Amino acid sequence: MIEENDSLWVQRTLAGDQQAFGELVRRYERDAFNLAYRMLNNRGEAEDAAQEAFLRAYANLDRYDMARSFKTWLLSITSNHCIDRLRKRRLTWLSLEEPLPPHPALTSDIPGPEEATLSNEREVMVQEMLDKLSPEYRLAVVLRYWYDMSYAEIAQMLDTTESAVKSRLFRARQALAKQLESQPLPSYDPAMEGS
Amino acid sequence: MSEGKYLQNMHSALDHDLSEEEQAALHAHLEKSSEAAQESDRLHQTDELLRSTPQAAPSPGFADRVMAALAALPLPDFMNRQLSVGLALGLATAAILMVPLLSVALILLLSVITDPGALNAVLQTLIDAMSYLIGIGADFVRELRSFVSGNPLVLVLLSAVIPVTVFWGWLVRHLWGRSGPVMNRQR
Repeated sequence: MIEENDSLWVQRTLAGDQQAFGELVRRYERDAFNLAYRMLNNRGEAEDAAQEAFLRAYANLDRYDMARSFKTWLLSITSNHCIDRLRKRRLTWLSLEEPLPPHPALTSDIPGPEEATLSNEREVMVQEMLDKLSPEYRLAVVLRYWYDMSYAEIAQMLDTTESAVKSRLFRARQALAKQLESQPLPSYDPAMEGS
Repeated sequence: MSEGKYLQNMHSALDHDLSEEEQAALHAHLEKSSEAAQESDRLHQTDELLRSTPQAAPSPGFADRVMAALAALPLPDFMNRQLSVGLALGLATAAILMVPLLSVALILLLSVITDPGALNAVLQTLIDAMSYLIGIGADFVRELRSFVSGNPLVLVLLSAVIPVTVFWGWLVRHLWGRSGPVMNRQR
């Protein structure tokens, strides 16, 4: 039903109604932002990337195949843009004149360890773990866990094979499990609350 | 079954992608091997951690900022193409509508202002020429010309020209109003 509605909003946008695109932005802002945030690990940069993805989607809307899901198409644009940003960031980091990137906990809006709640500690931890994966592995994990995409859907989106996706997820999970082994999950202790 | 295969099946189990037989075989292996059981626990813990982490949300007003950024950009190609085609069609339609009606208007005005009798031959020639050019419109022209000798000529003239002029003006303004911002945005 949502997919059908998406086509209507796309058609209205293509007919010249710019505000119709606003409906698609509101509907998928969270999806685009979350993907960018998981990939880039910086809220400000993630908002810029998600915004850029929407602008690119709008500029190329006449190339959108309405037989496909708009959400998948948008996520594809967002992931490509994030991969580009990560490549540029890597090049920038190679320059000795550039300062080192700040710690994720400092660049995100998530509170620091002292005042963090348990969920935020876990959130920071997840981001730190994802950040240690290569972008390709990270993307596969994000699409699988936050968007519940099947191997086939991920393969189609990343223009690769299902076995390649399976392999990436296998290695990514192994790497994440290894990280978790050396850095156990913060556990909730009610006795500590209020102390 | 090799350890590697069991490890693969641990991952497949997370995706609920194992047959009952494979599940049973994996379960039996985990009961026998504490090392494999620990590995499985770590994978399950990782899986649970990822599944329980909610989507991150952008800051409030994000969609509005996207729309503002979008409005500040030049219109995409599909919009410009649409405007170009619309403008061309609009102008062509307006021109086609205006040529015969302006001709009729001119003839009617001349007929009213001057002596219809003296100009009759000239007007007849002009009307014939116009009727030759505009085909079907010629019948309409003759009908109108027959009203020249009648009484409410000015009213007929106005009722014919004003709606078309208003329509033409609206068309130009409508198209200009949409293409105008394009120029502003590109500056």
